[in-house]
Amino acid sequence: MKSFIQNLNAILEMLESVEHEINLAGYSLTEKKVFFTIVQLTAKEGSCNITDVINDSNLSRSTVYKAIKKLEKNMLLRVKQSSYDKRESYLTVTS
Amino acid sequence: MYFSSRFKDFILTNLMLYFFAMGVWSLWSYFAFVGLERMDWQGSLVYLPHGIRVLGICFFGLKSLPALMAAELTGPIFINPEQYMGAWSIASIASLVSVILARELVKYSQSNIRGSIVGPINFQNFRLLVLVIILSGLFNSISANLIISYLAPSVNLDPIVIGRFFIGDVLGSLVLILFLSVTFTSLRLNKLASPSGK
Repeated sequence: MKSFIQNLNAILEMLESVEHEINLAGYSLTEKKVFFTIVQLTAKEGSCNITDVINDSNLSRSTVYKAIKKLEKNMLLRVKQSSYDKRESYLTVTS
Repeated sequence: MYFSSRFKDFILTNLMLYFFAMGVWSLWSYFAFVGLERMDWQGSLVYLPHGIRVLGICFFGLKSLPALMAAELTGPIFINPEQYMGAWSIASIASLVSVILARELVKYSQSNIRGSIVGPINFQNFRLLVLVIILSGLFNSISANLIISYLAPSVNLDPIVIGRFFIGDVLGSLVLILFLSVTFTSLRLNKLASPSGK
């Protein structure tokens, strides 16, 4: 019979495997916050740009840029330059 | 010595599960009842307590039954005594039996299939857990509604309510597991869970 600690460890292993499956493992809390902010803004407004994420998350521009770069590199996000304003980029979550 | 260790294990498992279950009951009652005028019955579409039944029975086995049963009885009385009394308490026994039945069915059905999509057969593999959630939700929605309509004549057997129970159990369990997964993985990744920082 497994002990209490072994059972608890089995639950933690299962929870970790779920986290790996949804592909958010290995990200810091800040990167997760940026990702969830983008998801929420997209759900609310239909689309969002980097400035919206900075304003909504209260994180610095460089932190948000770094997080977006990593999320884009891992194909969780798509960054598309605005056709009206070349300085602005729209963010979409890849499905 | 051996019995003392097993007894300690039993007490620890049940205490931990009971307090955790009561925490989840409080959280769920907030969704289900606090905003009743806005949400109506929609709170039952994410029935978080079913997740505790599944986690408890799949990972701790039958020794978790005292804690789960105590939570089933005291959770609703503690939070909203007018909503769940009498027949609901008996229906909660059927809910626990549904999870045990689903667990045994999944273990049995997978016993001879190599390379199955939901293998290997251990509950660290969350695909197997999802299968238990779906099956137990199905069994629970039918059995609990049958018992309630039999014991409480004022409640009619309604296919929409059965469907709502099924969706509520499945969604509730998945939401609970996802929430725990994100919470514990974040704690570990940010070195808040381990004193050694590993």
